[in-house]
Amino acid sequence: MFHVRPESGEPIYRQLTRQIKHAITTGALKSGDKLPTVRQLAVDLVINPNTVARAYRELEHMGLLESGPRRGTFVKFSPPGMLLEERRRRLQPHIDGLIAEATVLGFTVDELVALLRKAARSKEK
Amino acid sequence: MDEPSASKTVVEAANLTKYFGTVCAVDHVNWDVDDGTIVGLLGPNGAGKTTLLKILLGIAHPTSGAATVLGLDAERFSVLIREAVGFVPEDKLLYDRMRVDAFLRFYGAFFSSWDARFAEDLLARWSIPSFKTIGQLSKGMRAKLMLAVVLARQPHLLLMDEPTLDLDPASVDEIFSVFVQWVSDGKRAIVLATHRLDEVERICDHVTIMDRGGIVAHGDLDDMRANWKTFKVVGDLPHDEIRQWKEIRRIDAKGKATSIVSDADPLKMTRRLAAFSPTTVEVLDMNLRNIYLAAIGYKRGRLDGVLESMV
Repeated sequence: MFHVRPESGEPIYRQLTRQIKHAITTGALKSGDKLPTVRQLAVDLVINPNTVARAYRELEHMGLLESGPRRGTFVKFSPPGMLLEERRRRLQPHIDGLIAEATVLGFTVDELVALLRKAARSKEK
Repeated sequence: MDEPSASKTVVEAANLTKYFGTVCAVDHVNWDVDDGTIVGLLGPNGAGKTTLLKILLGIAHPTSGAATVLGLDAERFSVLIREAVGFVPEDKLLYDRMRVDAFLRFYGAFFSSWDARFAEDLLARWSIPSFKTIGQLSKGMRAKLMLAVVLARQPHLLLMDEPTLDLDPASVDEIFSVFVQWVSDGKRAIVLATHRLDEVERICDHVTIMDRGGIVAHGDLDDMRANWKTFKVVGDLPHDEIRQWKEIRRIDAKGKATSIVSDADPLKMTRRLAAFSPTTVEVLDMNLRNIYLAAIGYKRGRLDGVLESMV
């Protein structure tokens, strides 16, 4: 179900979190679905168990997964929270790019925010 | 519990130095390995990887400094350490005329921790016929057999020197899934000395890169991937000043284009470079191969050639 490309330069745990999030957003994984154990997924994908554990941990922090001792790891479906997270994720590369570009061109954060406000206001009109 | 918890240190090297005559094979190495981890030990031939492993086993003695393995001093407790640690050497010595099943009994008799069932299970899983003599086995099967007997000793720590040298890709996958299972309870660790960066990138969570006896890079692989970046800058830069920054690992300039590799805090680096008002700054991810080349290239000052392969 999941696959990793170790040579890509993107940390493997991030490839995993991305794919699990994608599976949840597209409905391939539903609330209450049980995920493979850390050990099982590590063996299946032949990757380090700590990497899997880190991916699960991050997704728990985001509120997408829930795990308890002996029960395993489950998908925790909370639409508003998930949608916000997903929306943020999609916006993030654009924000990063904008910040990088603004930094190179010598704008401060305040100036950038002011420009964004101004642009948004002129769009509203 | 499901989640591995790495915390206990199983290997500790402090200022470890080894001279062979006037040649410094291991140069002031400080190094830790934690339980529950798989560490990839990388470096060009002659970088000191094998010597380091031999010192840990008490086979080679350090000129200065000290190492402990499972809390035991490597020099004084070599016998105990060799019993608790599984070492798979690069050259695998076996008894050609012995049958596989006889070899298992013979080998197992030396170790109190021997798990005969585990050994048989592995042989079955890896399709190694127990009725054949070792001489009749292919190179790959011999390598797997050696690995199986070392694993069946249930060692706390596995030290391996090029374990996949004679193995085909399918066999590599088979033994790696055993390794992954092996460390997943968080109570065992593996050190893998190898040239196969793709394998390290797949199953290791920590990486140590050695060059000319010293450690030139070490850390959590995911953290390394997050921190090591290549900056492609177009514009005028004060190269001599930038070279002094401690995060800089490489800097190569061609006309107005500069390629910079740094190993920490990419956002801060972007800001510092942007302060010179260049035309463009591009930040590129690095895979382990790029990190490796930058780490060993930097120390040797071999700036050309390597850069070409990084682009």
